[in-house]
Amino acid sequence: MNEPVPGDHFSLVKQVIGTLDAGIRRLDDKTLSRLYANRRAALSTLQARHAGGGVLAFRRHPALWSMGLATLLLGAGWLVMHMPMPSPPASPDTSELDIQLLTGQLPPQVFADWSLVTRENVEAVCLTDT
Amino acid sequence: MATPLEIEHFLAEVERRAYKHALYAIHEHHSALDVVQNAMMKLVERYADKPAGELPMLFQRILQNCIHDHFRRARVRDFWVRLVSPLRDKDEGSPETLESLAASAEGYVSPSPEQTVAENQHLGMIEKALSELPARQRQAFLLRYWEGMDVAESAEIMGCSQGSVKTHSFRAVNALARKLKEMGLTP
Repeated sequence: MNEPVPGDHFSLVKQVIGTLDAGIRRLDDKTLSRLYANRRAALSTLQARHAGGGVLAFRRHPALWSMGLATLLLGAGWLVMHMPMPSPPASPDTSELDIQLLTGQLPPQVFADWSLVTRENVEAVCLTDT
Repeated sequence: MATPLEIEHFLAEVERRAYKHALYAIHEHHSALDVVQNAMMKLVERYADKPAGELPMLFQRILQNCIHDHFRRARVRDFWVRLVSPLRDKDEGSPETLESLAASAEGYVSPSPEQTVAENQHLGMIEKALSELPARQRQAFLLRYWEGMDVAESAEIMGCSQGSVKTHSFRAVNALARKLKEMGLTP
């Protein structure tokens, strides 16, 4: 009781509060067990929250969550920048073939079938024609 | 932030008084226990990360809101029951309604055989007088004198001005004194 009560009723308030305090100490077992069950149910929710730390803990701390996300994005960016890119396949050197075509060493039939534009096939065609 | 142990100690300390708060307001044992359970769950779910020192006020506020919610739901339920009850009365009568009327007429204080000792008689009278107080007066009295809240805290919990809290608690004390005197219980 931290508040002043009307002077002539001070003892009354004291008696009422004293009786109420005594009353809650004599609650029946059924009520007490139900109150205990209520408390355990509430605390089990709390324990479940604490047990769900780790990833779930981030949910309750937006600053941590956004920092983690930013770190993840930066890491991904660094990886993209520094990852060795596969070079495009080198195009075959066809200069010798071009010279042979221009100088007439190869027949024009070569142009009829572009699959012949490999050294092996061209040589085979040339052999056939000659 | 309150530790789980602090929360457990707090709930263990406050649960009996919370039950009585709800019982004086609702006058029904099981509903009062349900209200206390709701209040505990809400405190843990929403305010477990608050400092331990803030828990008493938060809990009282949640408890009062839960009591209000109970009455709000009861009003809606009663509305539908009243709407349907004429039809049910014609058909088969409504024993549940009659039982509940009888129970409410008796009041929630039903002296058991064990309540024959003087202390229990006093307790019964005081609880009866308390439960007969207007809700706001009872709330102010219990918060200030039983829970030990100051005027500012009580005002915040009750959602009214500090002056109103003072008025309610003053009237509650006077009304209690009058009622207990009528019952033959004098300090």
